[in-house]
Amino acid sequence: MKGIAILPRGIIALFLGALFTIASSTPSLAADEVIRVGNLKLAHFGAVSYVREIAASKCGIQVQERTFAKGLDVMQAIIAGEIDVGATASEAAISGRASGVPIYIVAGFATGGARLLARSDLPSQKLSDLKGKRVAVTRGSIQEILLAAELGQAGLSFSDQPGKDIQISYLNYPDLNQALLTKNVDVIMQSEPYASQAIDRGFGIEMLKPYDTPIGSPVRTLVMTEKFYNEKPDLAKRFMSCFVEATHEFISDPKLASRFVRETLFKGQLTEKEFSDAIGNAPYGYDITPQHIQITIDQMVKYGVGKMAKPPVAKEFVKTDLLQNVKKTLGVQ
Amino acid sequence: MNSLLNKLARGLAAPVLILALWQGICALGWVTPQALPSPIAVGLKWLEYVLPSQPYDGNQSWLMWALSGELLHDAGGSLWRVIMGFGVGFVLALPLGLVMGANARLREFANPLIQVLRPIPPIAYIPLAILWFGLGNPPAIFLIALGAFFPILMNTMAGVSQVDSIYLRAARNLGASPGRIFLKVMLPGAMPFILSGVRIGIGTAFLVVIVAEMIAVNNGLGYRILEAREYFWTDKIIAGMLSIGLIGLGIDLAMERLNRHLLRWHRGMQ
Amino acid sequence: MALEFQGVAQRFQGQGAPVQVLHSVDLSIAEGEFVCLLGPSGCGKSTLLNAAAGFIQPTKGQVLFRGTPIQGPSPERGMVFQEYALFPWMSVEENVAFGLKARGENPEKIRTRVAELLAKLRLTEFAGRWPRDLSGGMRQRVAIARVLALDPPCLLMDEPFGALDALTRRSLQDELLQLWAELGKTVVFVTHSIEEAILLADRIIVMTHRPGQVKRDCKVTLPRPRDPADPAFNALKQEMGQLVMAEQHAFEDAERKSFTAD
Repeated sequence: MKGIAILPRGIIALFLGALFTIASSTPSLAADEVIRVGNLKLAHFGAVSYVREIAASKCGIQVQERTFAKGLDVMQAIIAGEIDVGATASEAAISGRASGVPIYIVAGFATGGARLLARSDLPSQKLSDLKGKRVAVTRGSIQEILLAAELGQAGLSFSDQPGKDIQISYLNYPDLNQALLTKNVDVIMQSEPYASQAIDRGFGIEMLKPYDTPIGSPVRTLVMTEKFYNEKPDLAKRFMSCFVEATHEFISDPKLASRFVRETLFKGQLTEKEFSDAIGNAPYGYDITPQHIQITIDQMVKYGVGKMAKPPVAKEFVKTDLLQNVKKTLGVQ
Repeated sequence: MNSLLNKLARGLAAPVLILALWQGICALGWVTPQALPSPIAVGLKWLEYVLPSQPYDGNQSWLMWALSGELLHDAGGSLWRVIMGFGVGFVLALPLGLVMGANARLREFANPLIQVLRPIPPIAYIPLAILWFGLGNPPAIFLIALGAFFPILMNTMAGVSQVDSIYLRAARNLGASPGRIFLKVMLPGAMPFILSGVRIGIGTAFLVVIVAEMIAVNNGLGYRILEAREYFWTDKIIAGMLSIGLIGLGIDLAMERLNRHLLRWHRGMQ
Repeated sequence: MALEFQGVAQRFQGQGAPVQVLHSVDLSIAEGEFVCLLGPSGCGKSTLLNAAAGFIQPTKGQVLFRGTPIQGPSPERGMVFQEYALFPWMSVEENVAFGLKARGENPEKIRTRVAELLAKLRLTEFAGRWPRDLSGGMRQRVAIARVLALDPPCLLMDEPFGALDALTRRSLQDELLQLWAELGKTVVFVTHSIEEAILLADRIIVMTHRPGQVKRDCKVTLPRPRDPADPAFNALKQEMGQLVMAEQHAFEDAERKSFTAD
C-alpha cells in the first residue's frame, strides 16, 4: 500500500524535474550576455564569423554563432526568437521585414558576390540564348533578384511554373553547383565561393557578373532584431565595434582572412585560388545606404520576387547610426 | 438518428475544443501571428488555396476552371508521385517478399543486407537520390518507392511464412502443383499481412512525398509548404498541412474499404 | 495390398537429442479395410499416417501403396486432418472443387461433381459460405467432401473427430461408416478413443509408447452396426483398455523420468 502512495509523488517529482531541465536548457534570454548570431557559410560572410573568434579576447562579449543554409532560414530563426544578429543578403532581410520580421539593417558587409554561370560543356551563352534552358537559383538570395533583373532587362520572363520564357528551379547554394556538375541544370546564378569553385574546378563558365542592373553591386546586410537594438544598446554597440574590428582585420590582412575562411569555416574544402577569386568578386566592407535597399525593394516588387504583399520602406528599417558612431570611435573609414 | 448525432458530437468534440483554444490564444495575442496564425486566418488561406486563382474567363469549360485551384493542382501532383512511387515499390517488394518468405535459403542470403538497409530512412537518401536521378520527379519517385518497399517486403515475408503449413500439406495432398499452391494458397493466406504492409507502405510513401518534394520539383503539397515557409506564409503552411492530413485520411479510408473487401473471409474481420 | 509398411522406422532430429518415434513397424492393409491406429500420445501413430500420406520419408524401411514405394503426397491417399485445414479464403464449394481444379477437370464436370458431393455430405445449403461461418462438424464434412471429390482409393484420417463434441462425433462416425459402406474405400484412422476404434474398425492396431511398434493387431469381428451398449462390445473395450492403459502408464513414466533427469 505504501509503495502505491509514493508512486504518484514520484511521478510528479520526475515530471517537475524534467520540466525544470527543459526550461533551464533553452537559453532564450536567460544568459543575458550571450549574443546569438545567425550566419551563412559563404566566403564573404567570413568577417561576421570572425567576430566570434575575437569576441571574448578583444571585444569583451560572448558570441554564439549558428550557421544556416540561406538567408530565409536566418529570418525564420529570428521569428522564433533564437537570433539577435543576422547576416543575410538584402533580399532575405527585405522580404523578412515585409512579412513583419522585426529587424533593422544596421550595416553592410560585402558587395557583389554573384555570378551567372553556364555549364562548361555548352557553347558560350548570352542572356538571349537562355530561352528554353534550365536555370536554377537559391530562393531568398540576392542572386534571385539579380537573376530576375538581368532576365527582365533582356526581355525574358521567368517562373517556377511552366508557361514563361524560362522555368527556374530553386536549390540551395551547394546543390546549385552539384546540379550544374551533373548537368541537371544549364545555368545558375551563384554566390561565392561556390561560383569561383565551379569555375576553378572546370564545370562552370562565367557568363556575366550581374552588376549592371539598377541595384548595381549588391550589399550584404547585417541585421539586428528590434528587441536587441532597442533593449540592449550597450551590447549592440559592443557587437558593432567587434564587427568593425573583425572586418578591418580582414581587409588589412588578406592572409588572415584566407586562412580563417579556408581552414576554420570551410575546413580545408576551399583552395587559396578559389578563395582569392571569390573575395575578388565580393570584397569585405561596412557600409550600406537606405537608397540601395530601396532600389532593391523596388526591383523585387517590379519582378514579383519575394511575393511581398506589403513591401517595406527602406528608410524605416535601415539604421546605420550605430555603425557610423562605432566607425568614428575606432577611426575607420 | 439520435445515436448518429451522438457519435458525430463525440467525434467533433476534441477538434472543436482545440480550434476554440487555438483561436483564443491568437486573439489574446500570446503568440506572434507569424509563429501561429489564427484558425480563421488559416481557414481563409485554405479557401484561397483551393479556389481558382483567376476569375472565370470563358476560355475553358466551367468545370476545368472550378478545378484549377492551386491546392487541387498540388494535391494531384503529390498523389501522382505517391501512386507512381508506391507502384514501383510494390512491384519490386511483393514478388521478392513472396519468394523470400517461401524460400529459407534465399532468406538466409538476402536477410542480412535487408536488415541493414531497412532502418535507413528514405530521407537520408536525398543527396544520393539527386546525384543518381537528377532533379524533378525521378528522385522523388525513387525515394517514395524506397519508403514503400521495406514495409511491403517485410510484411509479405512474414505473411508467407505464417501461412499454416497445414494448408500447404492439404494442398499438396489434393494434387496441387507448386504454381497453384503459390497462387491459391500462399498468396491468399498471406493476404492479411500483405495488405497490412501495403497500408503502412502507402502511409510511408505519403510521408516521404512531402519531404521528397522539397528537393527540386515545382509543384505538390510538400513544395508548396516549403515555398510558404520561405515566404513567411505560416497560415499557408498550416493550410497545406491540413490538406495533407485530409488526403491522408482519405487514403486510409480507401485502404480500409479495400481491406474489408479482400479479407471478408478473415476470422479477424468478424 | 493397398498399403504396406515394411520395417518403417522414424527418427526426428529435435532441439537436443534425436528422438526415435517409430521403431520398426510392419503392417499390411488390404483394399477396402477399415483400420484404426490406437495408442497413447507420442506413440507415432500420426507419424505413421504422415508417412503413408507421403509427407515424410521414413528414416528406415518403406511404405508401399499398391506395391509401389510412396514418393510424396497424392490425391489417391486423401488426408483428413483434425484441424479440418479448410482454406479460409475459399467458400465451401470452392474448397470442395479445389482438387478437381488442380487436376484440370473442365468446369461443367467440376460443378456437377461438387453438387453431388455437397448433397452426399448434406452441405448443399452451405455451398457459398465461408469456413469461418461453419460449426466444427460441418467443417469436417466439407473436408471429407474435399478429399472424396478426387475419388481416392484410400482415406487417411488423423483423429478427425477429436475436436468435436460427443454428439457431433457420433453423428459423423455414423456418416463415415455409411460412406465407407457405400464407396468401399480403404480407411486408415488414427484415434486415441478405444470406443471409437471398436465402433469403426475392422482391425485395431494397438501401438506401444515411443519408440512406437505394433503391440497388438486385433481383428474386430463384431457384426455391424455396432452398439456400444452391447456386452461383447464392452468386453472388447475392457481388453483393449488394459492394453492401451499399460502403454499410457509407460508413456507417463517415461515422461516423468525425462523431466527429473533434467
